[in-house]
Amino acid sequence: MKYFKYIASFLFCSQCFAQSTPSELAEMSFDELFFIDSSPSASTSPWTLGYAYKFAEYKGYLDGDSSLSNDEVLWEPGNEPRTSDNFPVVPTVITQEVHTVSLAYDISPQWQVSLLVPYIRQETDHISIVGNYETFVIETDGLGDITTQATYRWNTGSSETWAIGFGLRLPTGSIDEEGDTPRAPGDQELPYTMQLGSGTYDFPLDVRYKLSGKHQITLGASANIRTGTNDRGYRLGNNYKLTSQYSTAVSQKVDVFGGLSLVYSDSIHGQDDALLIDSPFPYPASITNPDLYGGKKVNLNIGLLWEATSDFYLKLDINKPVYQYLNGPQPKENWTGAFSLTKKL
Amino acid sequence: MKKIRRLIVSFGSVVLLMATFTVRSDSSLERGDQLKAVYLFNFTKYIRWPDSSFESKSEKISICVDAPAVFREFLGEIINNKRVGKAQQLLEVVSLDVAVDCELIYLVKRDNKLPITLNNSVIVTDSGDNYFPENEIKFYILDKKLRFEIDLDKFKKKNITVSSELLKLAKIK
Repeated sequence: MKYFKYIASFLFCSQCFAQSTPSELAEMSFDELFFIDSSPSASTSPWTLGYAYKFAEYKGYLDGDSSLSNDEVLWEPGNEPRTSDNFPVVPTVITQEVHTVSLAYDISPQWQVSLLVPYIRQETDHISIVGNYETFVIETDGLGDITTQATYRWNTGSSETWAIGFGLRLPTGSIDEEGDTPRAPGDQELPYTMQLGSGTYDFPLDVRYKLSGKHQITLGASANIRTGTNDRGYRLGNNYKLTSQYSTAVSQKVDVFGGLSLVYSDSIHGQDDALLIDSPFPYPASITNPDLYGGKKVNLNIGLLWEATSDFYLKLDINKPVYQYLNGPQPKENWTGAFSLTKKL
Repeated sequence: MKKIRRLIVSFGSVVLLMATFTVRSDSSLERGDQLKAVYLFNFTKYIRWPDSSFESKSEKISICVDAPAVFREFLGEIINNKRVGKAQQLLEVVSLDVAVDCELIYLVKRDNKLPITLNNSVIVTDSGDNYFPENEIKFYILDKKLRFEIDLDKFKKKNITVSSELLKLAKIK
């Protein structure tokens, strides 16, 4: 309860910045003025609070762009030889849910800094050839990697806007999650997919171009660059993404959008030795092999943006991969969905 | 079960906070009009009137406003004895009804003849209806943001120069 009063006073302090004086406005350049909402009911607070929920499901397997069934990935002793492409344990469905609370502060109309705090919940269904573990489920949940980032925007015309963002993702998410797997009795270290963080300092970067108007086009390039090696001896792969999106208003309050994105992810560098078994084939499941991560994807996305009030937005977004080429056998992404609420305080 | 309850409580708290804290401007002049006033001030930095329009380098640049008094007062606070351009000309705000000579004229709503000659005046009109087509600059709204359109031919006819920095950000008619 005692913390609530500090949080409340911090949020109410947003009123301290609610009004720009005439002399402050006079100091602004056109580049800054171009980002100020001119609608009569617009909030002038520099604070923006956000909440986002993201759901992702991985089901089925790909090796390159060839589909594999769970039975093809599961090693059946006696019926087939053990190879590097079959495993005694096979994850069948992986679901990930991420709740992210964000707080952004406009230093100026062009500069914004923000803090994003994710809470992650993951669940994986498995089948295996190990007695008492024919089917089993593993769950993890907790704080993910907290991100701080800064964004700078500028105009190159009456309807053309550019933005560049750069940030630091802190290794606040656990990489020591344990669970009961067939590898040994009791709890053991869980594979990379079930961990909540990267364990390294990562640098998200992005550049965006927006052409505003009745028909709005957005193009973007982003990357998540990871550095060093974490305490468990590995570094997750870098991600690179190119996005294109078209949006248009279908009513005064609702925009619909659709687009394509190209995603490339590296495999994992190094490995967590605790995930290995003492055997000529040391990986008990595909998700314990660091080489079987990463690949290329083409995603189709559609969604809508609803302006509930002049400073309260709701966004719905669904992504479906239309092409995947994965370093496999690897669980393939089935679909992701997200919704977010944004409120100018 | 505890985790689900914790999630629901956290989510509910976030939504409640979002719905509760709404801060609005309490100025008597709406934000859109405040921005228009600042734009008018900024226009004077990027427009060069022919020397013939000033008796001497120390002459003032007059912004003549056909808008309510509250707008003129706000614009007056913005320019607040500021000087612009190489010649450091002093800015002043006057009501169009009493103006004699204007470098910049802002018309909110007027479809009849103006009380002054327009040889060296840049006319700026508000967004909305094309109520005064003889304008050089017209405000418009794009994605809730204030933008402006420039009619370059009309500027050339009056021998008034617009800086490329201003043209870069304008929609050219």
